Amino acid sequence: MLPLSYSLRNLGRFPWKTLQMVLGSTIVVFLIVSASAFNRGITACLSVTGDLNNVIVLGAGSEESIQRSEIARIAPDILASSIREIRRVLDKPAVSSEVYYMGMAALSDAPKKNWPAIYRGVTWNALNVHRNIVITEGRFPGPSEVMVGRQVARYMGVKDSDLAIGKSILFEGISYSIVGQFQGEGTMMEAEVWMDINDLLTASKRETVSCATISLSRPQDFDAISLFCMQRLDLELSAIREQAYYASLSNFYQPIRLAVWLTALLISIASVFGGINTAYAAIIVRRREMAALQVIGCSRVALIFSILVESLIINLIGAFVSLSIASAWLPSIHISFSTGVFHMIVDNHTLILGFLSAGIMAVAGIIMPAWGCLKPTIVSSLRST
Amino acid sequence: MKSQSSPIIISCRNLTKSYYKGDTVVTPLENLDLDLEKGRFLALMGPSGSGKTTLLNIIAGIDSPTSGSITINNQEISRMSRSQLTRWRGKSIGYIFQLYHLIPVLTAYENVELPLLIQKISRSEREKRVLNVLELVGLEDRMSHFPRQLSGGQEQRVAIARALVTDPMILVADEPTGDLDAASAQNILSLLRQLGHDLHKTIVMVTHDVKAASYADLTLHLEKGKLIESSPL
Repeated sequence: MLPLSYSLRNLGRFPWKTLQMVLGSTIVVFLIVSASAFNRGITACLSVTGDLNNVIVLGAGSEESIQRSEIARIAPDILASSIREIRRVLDKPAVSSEVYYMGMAALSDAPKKNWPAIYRGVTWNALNVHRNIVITEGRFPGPSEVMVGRQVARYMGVKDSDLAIGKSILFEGISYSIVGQFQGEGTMMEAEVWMDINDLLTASKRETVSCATISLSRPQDFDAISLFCMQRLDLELSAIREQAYYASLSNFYQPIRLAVWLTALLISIASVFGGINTAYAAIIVRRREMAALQVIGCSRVALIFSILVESLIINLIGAFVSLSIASAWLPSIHISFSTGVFHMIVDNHTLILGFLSAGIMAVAGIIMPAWGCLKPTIVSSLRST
Repeated sequence: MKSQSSPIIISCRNLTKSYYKGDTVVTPLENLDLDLEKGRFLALMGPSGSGKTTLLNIIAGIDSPTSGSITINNQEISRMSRSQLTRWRGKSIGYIFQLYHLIPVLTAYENVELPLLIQKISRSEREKRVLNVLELVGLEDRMSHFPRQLSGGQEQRVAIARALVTDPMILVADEPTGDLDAASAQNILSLLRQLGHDLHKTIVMVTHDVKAASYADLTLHLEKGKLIESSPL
């Protein structure tokens, strides 16, 4: 085998081409890592939303969307009094009657400008059911009051200070004071504005609620709820595990995830072809040198290995640069989508994928140039100009 | 080219090399027979296209004949595979190029050491051999210089040291002085003759230059792929 110093010093022979290849590798790895971080972010957000013990009772036929669901206002109370398997908190059944509404919001400082907002009308019992929701500042809202999740500002596209406690938002022409802020362990609820259920029913001119979220003592008690929904046909209810609901929502975003991967891959493939050209130009000028090395006893395998080492070094530098940028920058990017906000995730999986992509590019990028350089006979290579 | 004192090291029988150039068949060597004794310094001369470099390349194992056989030190190299030839070349042949073909990113020492690295020789043995051949070619004080820091004559000396370092049976040189000024050329040729004599190496050199050929023990003239004359000195 040729010494490592030969491969290392070769990188400095054509510094501009080496730099071009490092940049190309950096961009491709960054693209792939970004696509992975995007997909892991959206998947994580949807998968952490949903408690294993929770069941959402929706209107029959609306299992795919809380937005479209309608159940009678009395239904949550009937469920609470009829099903023994419901977890009890301070001797009260953990059933949360909820209204889910996607509307607009204006800030008191800019009343004429509207931003999209997600509202959830709740009662105190919501905190007994959504156990990952923690009020971080202020208090639970009463009438004419709201509390906001920590991602609401990002979802709306306003500053965090616009939604500070003491400020107010305008919804359907009515002002609501912000009295609390909450977080929910990265769930989609962090992008929601929670308010009194009666206020939301009035503001949205609804007579029915969207759903009842129930916390069970044990996950296997789901059958009891399901059976109840089937028996009480008059209520037109349908039960779905909260995790299953968000998993189906995750499937809804599958085409977007695929589109992100496809875009990243297509751009990467185009970049790899560009990289092959640069590598070809850098390697082909060494054709005579490689022929001379073969004359003194160096095998083609050893030469390919040496070129591969050069390619690996270039691509690993590119991967290191792009992964450093990705680790520092991508997690700070929050992306809002129709039902929430997620942040991009750069974890071990993403890092491994980045290095793996660099490795694949290192191999794919030198196969053709190395073949072009080493396939001809030694004699013809020595004669080449 | 035979004498009774030394064994034959290079033996060619009916050696023919032909290839296509477009639709035309080119035959640089045709039914060539040659025997060369061990330790001789042979100069191959002839006009361009006479087949001298083709013959040199076949002897060096970097080209293969279309028909006929070539035996070097009782080994028929015309039957070897490409990888077998590579290994054989590394141990048996020292090749000196017209344009030196030193590796520009390696120092003179590293260039000379390279064939030994390929053969996985131990570090201490490498050091001993490299210093020895650099001293032989008079470049022990230039060992840490890169090729760009050396003159043409010095580069060719490094190339000779690289060719010698594996202690090969045969040194082949393709116009070794073709890119040098007259004084440097004379030095290189003297060095080759001296090394051949002192180290008992068989040397095959291609040259256009009659003066260069005069340093050899014998000269073969080729024309249109055939041996037309030999002139022992």
